[in-house]
Amino acid sequence: MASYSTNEFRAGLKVMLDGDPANIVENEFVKPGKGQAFNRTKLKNLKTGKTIERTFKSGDSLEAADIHEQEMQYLFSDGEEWHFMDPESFEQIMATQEAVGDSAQWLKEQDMCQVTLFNGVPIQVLPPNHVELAVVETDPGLRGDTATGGTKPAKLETGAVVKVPLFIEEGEVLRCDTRTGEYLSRVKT
Amino acid sequence: MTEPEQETWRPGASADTLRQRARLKRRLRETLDARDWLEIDAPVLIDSPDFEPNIALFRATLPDGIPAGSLHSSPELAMKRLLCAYPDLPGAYYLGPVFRAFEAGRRHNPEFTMLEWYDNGATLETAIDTTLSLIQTARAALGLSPAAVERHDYGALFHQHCALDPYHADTDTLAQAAGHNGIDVADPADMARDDWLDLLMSLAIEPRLDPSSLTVVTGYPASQAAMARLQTSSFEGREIRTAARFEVYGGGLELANGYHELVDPDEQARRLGVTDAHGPSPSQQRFLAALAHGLPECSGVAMGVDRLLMWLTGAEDIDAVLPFSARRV
Repeated sequence: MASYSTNEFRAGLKVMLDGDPANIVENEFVKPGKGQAFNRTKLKNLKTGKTIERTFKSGDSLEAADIHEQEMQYLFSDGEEWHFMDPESFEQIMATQEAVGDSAQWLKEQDMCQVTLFNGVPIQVLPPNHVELAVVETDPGLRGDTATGGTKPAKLETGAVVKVPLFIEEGEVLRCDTRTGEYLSRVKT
Repeated sequence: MTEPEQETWRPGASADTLRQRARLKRRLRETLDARDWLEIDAPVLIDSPDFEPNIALFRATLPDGIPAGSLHSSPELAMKRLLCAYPDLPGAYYLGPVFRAFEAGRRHNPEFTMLEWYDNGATLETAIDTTLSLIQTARAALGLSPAAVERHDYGALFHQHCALDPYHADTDTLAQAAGHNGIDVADPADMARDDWLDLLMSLAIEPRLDPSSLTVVTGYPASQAAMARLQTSSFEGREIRTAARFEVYGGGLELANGYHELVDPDEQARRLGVTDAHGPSPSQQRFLAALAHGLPECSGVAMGVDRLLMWLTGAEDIDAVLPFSARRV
């Protein structure tokens, strides 16, 4: 497996750290004029999502991580595993609950997702930034109240719960931002 | 850093900064010329004496791959040979490029501008005074008022910020202090004592130096003397050997490094490591022959001109004070 020396460290590089794949977030070269050089590096563990800081003696190296990211279509979940398809090769792969994590609440069949593969196995799934999902459960709408503030929770078809304006009714399709978990607008159906 | 690739044809420094840069270099030269010191052209392409263990040199090769020397990381050997040959010179300086492989970052560019001078007859105290006065002159040249000056002993800084004695603490104690400062070292087993000291100095102490002051640090451990002579000092009532060396920081930014220079040819040969199987290279032989002839008592100071301009202009990145840093070349 290839490895990267500290001289090659830069943001975005995928490396192995403590047995897990990690993404270099930030790298700072530190050196007293006459002294030993160090790289102070921030790395994000791609399995746990946790960011840590680690100091390397310059010249050290880290093994490259076999990571790649791919657009894949979400097919279905059997309750334990989530099934995705490569739209070009039609090859299907399965992701575990751990890999899908909080993204599960946004996953709608047929939607295209960003899947991170480590050694060919999905370790992270990100839903599209914007999704259109139907409301399956919310308090009855308040007619006429279209302008003033006030929100209520609405449960969507994939399980996510978002805050929506009071006029939203069950059966309506909403556009939401999965990064913030916020309602954006109604979608005319 | 997030600048689009197609925009990297542009200089990193603004037109105003380039004007300040030109004014700064002009004023440094005027000040040193007024002392009747000679500006010297040291060779940039040198035979490769690796006399600095922590500095990697760029190797030069001929088109057919034959080694042709290295780019200098400092004009030190040439400048000292010059003083050995002409001991009546009051002083000599070099203002030009030096090269250090792999040193790239917010505060480092692999090619940078060094002002290095040798003051014939000067003690370490004189060298400190000259350095501070030159920096204050540079401030004035850019319309800035003089900066406050703080002086600290290396031992006292470690005592204050890391609660340890850097001259005697063992590696375990130093490693613990790093841990207390939130520094997580990837391979602690690979860290020598001086590595820990350098790490703590860079990450636990420098960031805590007063950002608006010039800070002079003296009392470096004997193991970090490089080409400085050794002296006897005392720390917490104990007699210790320290390097006749100082550093000047502008805020937490290292600006200059000076020595009361080592003149003993035998000690110098030992520090160059030329007693090993390889023997001295031709340029090391010439340097040692010059020292055997006699280097006058002198102090030498190296100042990073780009760093100085960073501090004077408040630039966070060396790219902002260089016309074309490595990322634009």
